[in-house]
Order: sequence, then structure tokens, then C-alpha cells
Amino acid sequence: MAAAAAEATTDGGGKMIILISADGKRFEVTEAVASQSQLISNMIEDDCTENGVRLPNVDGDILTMVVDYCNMHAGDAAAAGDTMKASSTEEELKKFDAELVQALENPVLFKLILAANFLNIKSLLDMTCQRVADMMSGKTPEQMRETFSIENDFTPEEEAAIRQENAWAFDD
Amino acid sequence: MQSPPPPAKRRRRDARDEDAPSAASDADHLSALPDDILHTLLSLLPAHEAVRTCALGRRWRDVWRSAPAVRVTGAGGWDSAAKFTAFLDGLFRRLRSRRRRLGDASPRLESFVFDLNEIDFGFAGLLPSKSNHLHLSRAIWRAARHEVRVLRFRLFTSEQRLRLPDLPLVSHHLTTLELAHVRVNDRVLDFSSCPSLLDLILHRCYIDAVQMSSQSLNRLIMTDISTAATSSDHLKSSTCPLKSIDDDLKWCPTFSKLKNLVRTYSLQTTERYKPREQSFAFDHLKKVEFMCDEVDDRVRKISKILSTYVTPLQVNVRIRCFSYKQRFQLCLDLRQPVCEFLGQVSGDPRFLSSFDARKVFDGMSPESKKALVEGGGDDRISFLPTALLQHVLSFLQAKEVVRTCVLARRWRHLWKPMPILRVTGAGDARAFHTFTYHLLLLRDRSPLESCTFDFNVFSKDDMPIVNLWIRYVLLCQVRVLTLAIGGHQLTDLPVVSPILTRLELSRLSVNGKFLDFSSYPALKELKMTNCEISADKISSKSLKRLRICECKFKSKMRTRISVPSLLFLKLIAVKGRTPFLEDMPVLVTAKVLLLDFYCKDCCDGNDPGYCPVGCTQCYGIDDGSAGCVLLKGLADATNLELIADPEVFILKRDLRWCPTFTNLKTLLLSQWFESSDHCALICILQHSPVLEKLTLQLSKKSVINVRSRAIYNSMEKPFTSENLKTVEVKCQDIDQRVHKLMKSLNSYGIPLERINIQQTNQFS
Repeated sequence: MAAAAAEATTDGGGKMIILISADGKRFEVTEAVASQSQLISNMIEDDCTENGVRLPNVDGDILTMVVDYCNMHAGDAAAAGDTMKASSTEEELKKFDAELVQALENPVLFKLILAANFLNIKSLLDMTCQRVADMMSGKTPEQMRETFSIENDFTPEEEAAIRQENAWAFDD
Repeated sequence: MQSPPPPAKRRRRDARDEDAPSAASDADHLSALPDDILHTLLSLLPAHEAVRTCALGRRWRDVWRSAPAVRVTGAGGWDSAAKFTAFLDGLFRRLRSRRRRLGDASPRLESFVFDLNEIDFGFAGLLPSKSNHLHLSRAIWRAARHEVRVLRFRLFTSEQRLRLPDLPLVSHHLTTLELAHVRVNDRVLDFSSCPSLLDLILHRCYIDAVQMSSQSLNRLIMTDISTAATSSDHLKSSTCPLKSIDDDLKWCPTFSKLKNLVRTYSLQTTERYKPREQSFAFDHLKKVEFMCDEVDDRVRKISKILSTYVTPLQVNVRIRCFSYKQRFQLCLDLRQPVCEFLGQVSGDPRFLSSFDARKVFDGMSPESKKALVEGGGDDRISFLPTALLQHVLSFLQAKEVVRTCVLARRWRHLWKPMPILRVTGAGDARAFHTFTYHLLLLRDRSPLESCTFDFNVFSKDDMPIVNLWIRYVLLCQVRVLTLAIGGHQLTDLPVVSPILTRLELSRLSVNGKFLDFSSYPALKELKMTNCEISADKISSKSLKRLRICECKFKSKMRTRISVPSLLFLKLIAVKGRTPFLEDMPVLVTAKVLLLDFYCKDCCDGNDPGYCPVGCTQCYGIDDGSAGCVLLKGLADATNLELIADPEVFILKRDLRWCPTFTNLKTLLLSQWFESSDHCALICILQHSPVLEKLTLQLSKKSVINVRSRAIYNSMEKPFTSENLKTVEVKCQDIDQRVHKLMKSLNSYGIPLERINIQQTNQFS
């Protein structure tokens, strides 16, 4: 990361920005990397990133992932000039994204969704939400409850009534 | 004279008094100050005092009129309402004449503040009189007309609230508006005519409106707001606009009147209000601040209730003790999706008694209730705010979305307001129809962002029903509509939608009237894949991107494509007759791919494209009268890819009327241009004066022994090759053809070192 940072600075564009997680971990990233977050991009515009950006509701672990993701995808735009190069990195990126999102345990996945939403990184948000949607897809309500440990707080009568009410969506 | 004529002597003495500390001598240092400093100085004075400085001396006569801020206070010692209104009249008149006299050069009037306190007036007649009432409230509109950026109207009265006229404010400059102690209604709260408005502060206002709307607002502060509290309608509506603005703009509402908010929410829950509304205000809630004299039971109780509402991750209750006087100081940074909730416990404890905690708990999601008790658990999905859950659901098919209603209470109504619908069908047609009918009828009639229909139509009788569904979603203000309905024929009627921006059609047949997109003024993107098009014309004034892929043009005549605003065009594997492209003056990138087994514009003649006008295959359809079919429309493109099989004649025929490609920077040609003397290639190069990069793809086999007739008269004309930096030739084998090609390019002045040969196995 440090190497990437130095490179960016020599490129002439890269100011470094410090992100501080809820548990006080500090991450140094280039402006280009950080500004994939619309939130931070706005802050950069407003010049209020001087003393580091505190992210009080993003844990260090989660922020590590977010920063990794942003580092990976920051190259994205830069390499787009060369079509051959772009296509190869595109494949790498897809692989990286798939691995990132496949490996996640449920609680981490949801924390990542919240972080992506808070930081306003649309691609990460879409990717993580798509992952959850994939996990829901093709499951019966019972399986879904199990997967996400959702507590069924309907009484059996209530549930029957709701199924009846929405029978049009349940008969196959 | 409307302003009370001041005793000149007294004024002068005042001026000298101000002067005294800065200079011991008698010189008038004050008057010697530059104008802009005087302006700033005067803008600190109340308006009636600033106006009176005009009597100080010649130097002072017009100074006050250029001050950047005007602040009208009630402390002018007026003894009757008439005198005050007369003062206001005079003030506005003089300010207006300043503008006219000084024109654009005058410093802007930045802010206009009314700071009126009932006590200052000392006369009772100002407010009760109807004409005064109107006069006073109209002052706001008159002030706005001075193109001010900041407008504050604060009228401190005990009970009487000024009713504002039922007029919208119109100002392109206004960024901040503050209203205090007034009654406002729908019209006033419709800020669509204030496109720059960023901050709105309402303090102790009485809101008699069902909606408040603004496209631009960043910050809204409402303190001690009353609505028609007994009517649940009003309470409900007072939150709806907040929801809608929150939705669109991610700004953060600030409520300073806890009483109102809590009441609102308890009411909502008793009325089985949609869970969506409830969570909105709290999704981004980060910090709760109480401003109160002391931390007492009320504060504890409220913070407890609040902590149950807000997702545990985000709870951060801070209790600060402020002195009573400081309680109106609110300040927020609202660029971030962070919302602060400034609760204010007034000295009146009554509201707690009227507030039923049980009902508030009813509205809370049971998951978070449970989680609060247990402090965690694996069921993290239910901790996601409603908006995020809906985002997750938006990736699922409609049927799966609806089925989540049985998961748990929190999920029960989640599917109803979903802004994204994906209706896909397989299997039994009847069951699918039943499902879709229920879905469309039972969902909330909330606006749709995007809608996908992906299924097949099996019988002709279904078509009217499907067309009805399509019209329904268009009425729901859908922005992105994807129709992949196999075997379906869209109704041959123009359908109107003012906000549809993207339309994707596949596996459909479309008729002429549907493809007249003049009733879709916002349509930017159109994709048609595998469609059958029976139309004389496809037209849209607004379209920016058009992609027609593997579509069959069934019309007897060439379909005309009239899209004057188009930036990007893809015309891939046209079946039937190639469409006629009308002029596209802002076109940037275009790709045309024509295959011989799809395209009807093929000729068996041994040199297609060069046939004499008598050839029925080449000219059967348009008798040659159509002239240039594709190239003329593409003449303004910057990047072009023209790919066609050698048998397709249409591009070669177009060269007879070859336009000049005035903007063309990069060009890719594949296969069709090949001939023994490369006259097609040369012709294009001669008409591309600024071309920088040329890519040539050769066909696999060396079938081209075409002897072309020199039908282009400009064969001898050399072309300028200074701009042409690189020529790439892609071929399977470096054979005779390549050498020949290089030779002819070289003979037209392209140095060999600029030609780059790539051996490849791929052809697009």
C-alpha cells in the first residue's frame, strides 16, 4: 500500500488521506482510492480531511476490507486507457470481488453492507447486496430463516393467515 | 418621506461619538472610510438607523442603499402601525431604485432580515388588522424580489401567528430561508421555484400543509413546530415530505421539538403505518443530543425509548446540559449522511403523559427489540435499515421478494413499496398471470424506479393483458423499463411517459407508433435486441444511446432512424433491410456490424457494391433514390467501427455519395473494404481529413479477387496523412493481400513505419 501511495504522489495527483476506524486503526490511502466513497469524495471537496477522517461506525476489520476493495478498484479507472490491460485487470477484479464476497461470514457481510452504505460506495454496496440476494434466492421461507437466523415471531395462526393472504405468491 | 426624519444634529453628534475613540482630532475619519467598509458598517445597523444616515451629509446620502444586508427591526419607535408599514414601503421603494440606478455594478444585497418583536411596537394594532397582516407578510415576497441570498423573517409574538399568503416564493438566488412564528401552508412550502434553496429553518411555525417539497434543500431545521395536532392527517403528512426529501437527497432533518416527533410516531404505529416511513428518519441517526436544564426522569425515559428505535450499531446518546437560553443554537454539518436529532425538553412535562410508550414499541421491529435485550445474535440481516433491506431485495425476482413476507413481522410489508420490480415467469401461464395481477394490484402505488418483465407470451389473448401491465408500470413513473417478453407484440399506440429514461426491448415485435418516442421527452437510452421492427421510422429527439442488436426490420421500405441528439450508436447484425440513418450532428461513437446471412443488402453479383444502377438486388428497394443509407448519418462521428461481410454491398454503395468525416479520429474497418485496388479504403481515407488511427481487419480466407470498377472519381487525389499516426492491420496470415495493402497505403503517402501488422486468430 505504501508503495502504491508513493507512486501516486510522484504521479503528481495523489494527496494522502487518513481514515480512522471506530477502534482507532488508521489507514493511509490516496485521494483517488478514497474518493470512490462518495462521502469522502464530498469531504475532500470541502477540504475537511486534514486531520484524518473519523469513521465512528466502521470497525477496523471492515475498513481493512473496504480499503482493499477501493485499492483494487482505483486502478480500474486509470488502466482503462489501454484496452488490453483493462480487460485483463477486469478479469482480475471480478475474481477478486468474487473471492472477497464469497468468503464472508454473515455478520461480516452485513457490516460490510452498512459500511458501504455509510461510505456511499455504490459498486461495493451493489456487490454485497447481490451476494445476500443470491443467498436468499431459491430458498423457502424456512430455509431463509435458518440461513439468516431470522426469528419467526408470528404465531402459527398468524403465519397461516399471511400465507393465505399472499397465496398468489406461494402456489407453484 | 416615509422614514421618520431624524434630527440631523443628533445624528451628527452620534457620528462624532463613534469617531472619537479612533481619532482625537476633529477630522471626520468615519466619512473618510472607503465605501465598502461603510456598507459593512451600515449593514450592522437596524434598517431605520441605517436609513437615517442619509441625512449625515452628501457623502452619506446613498451609502446605506448599497449595504449588503438590511435588517428591519421593530425598535424604530413607531407609534402606529401605519407609520411602520409606510416605513417598509419607503424602504423597499428606495432599495429598488438603487438597483435600477446602479445596475449590475452595485454591490449585491445579500441578506434581508426581519427581526420584529411584538413588544417593541408598543401598539396593538399591527397584527389584528387584516390589511396590516397582509402587508407585513408580503414584505417577505418583496424582499425576495431583491435577489437576496439569505432571507430571515422572525416575528416574535406571544400567540398570534402571522398567516402567510398562499403564494409560492420565487427566487433563483435564495439559499437560506428562515421563518419564525408564522403560519405556513402548502403553497409556501412548495419550494420548486427556489432552485438554489439549501437551508430552511422553521421556528415555532404552524404548518398547515400536506407537503413540503424542494429539489435542492440540504438542511432543514424545524424547532417547536406545530401542526394541526388533533388531526392525524396532518401529522402523517408532516412526516411524508420528510421521507421523500430524505429519500432523494440524503439530507438530514433536524427536529428540535421532541414532543411533536414522538407523537407523530406513536400515531403512525397505531394506524398501522408502513414500517418504511418509520425507519427513514432513523436510518442515518448518529447522535442524539438533549438540551435541557437538568438530566431528569424525562430525559432518561426518552433516551431509553430512542435507543430502542435506533439500530444498536448506531446508538450514541449524549446528554448535554445547556442553559435554557442556549437552546436554539443548532449547528450541523449536513453534507454527510449523518443525522442529528436534537431533542429539546421544554419546561412543559405534559407531553410525556400524553405519550403512550406501548404504542411506540409496537412499531419497532421485533428483531431489534430482541437484539437489544440480548445484545446481539447472528441474525444480522434484520439489523439492516429498511432501505438497505429493500436494496438487497431489489436483486431478487418479484415472487421471491413477496415470499419474504412470512419471514417475520418486520418483513411482512417490506415488498409492497419496493421501487424495483423484476417480474419473471416460467411454467404455467395462468398461475403467472394470477401472480402478476396480484402483485401489481396489491403493491403500494408508490413510484417505480425500474421494472423488468421477462417472460413469454403463449397466446394472442394474453397480449392485451400484458400491454395493460406495461401501461400500468409506465403510470407508476418508472424510469428504467426492461421488456423481454417472448412472442409479444407491443400495442401499436404511442405510450406517454414524461420520465422514462431507459427502455430495453427484447424478443418483442414493435410497430411504428410505439417507436415514435416524441411522448418520451426524457428517454436517453434505447436498447432493442432480437426484436421485430415494423416501422417506417424510429424517432426521438432526446435519445443519447441507441443499440439495435439482431433485430429484424420487416418494413418494406427502409426504416428511417431519426435521432438528432444521439451520442452513441450500435447497429449490430441487422436482419432485413439496413435502416436509413438520418443526420446525427453530435454523434461520438458508432459501431455498425452487418452479416451476410442476416442482412438483406447483399448481392450475389461478383463485385457487390459496384453493380450498375439497374441491379434489382442492390437497388430494388429504393431505386437508388435513398442515396447514402448509413455513411451520411455517421459523417459526424469521432470513432467509427464499420464491420461487414464482403457480400454486403450497402457500405460500398454508400461510397458513391461518400460524405466527409470531419471529426473522425479513429476508424476500424473489417473485411468489406477489401478489393484488389483498395479503392473503398482509399475513398474513405480521402474523406477523413483528421483521422488519427486506422485499424484494418482482413477476412480469413483470401477469397477476394474482386476487380472493382473505379466508380469513385477521386481516385487520383492524394489524401493528407499527417494526422494519421498509426495503421493497424489485423490478419490471420501475412500473405499477398497484406503486402498489397501496405503497398497501396504506402503509395498514398503513409510511411511503412506507421503500419503495424498483427497476426491474430480472432475476428469480431
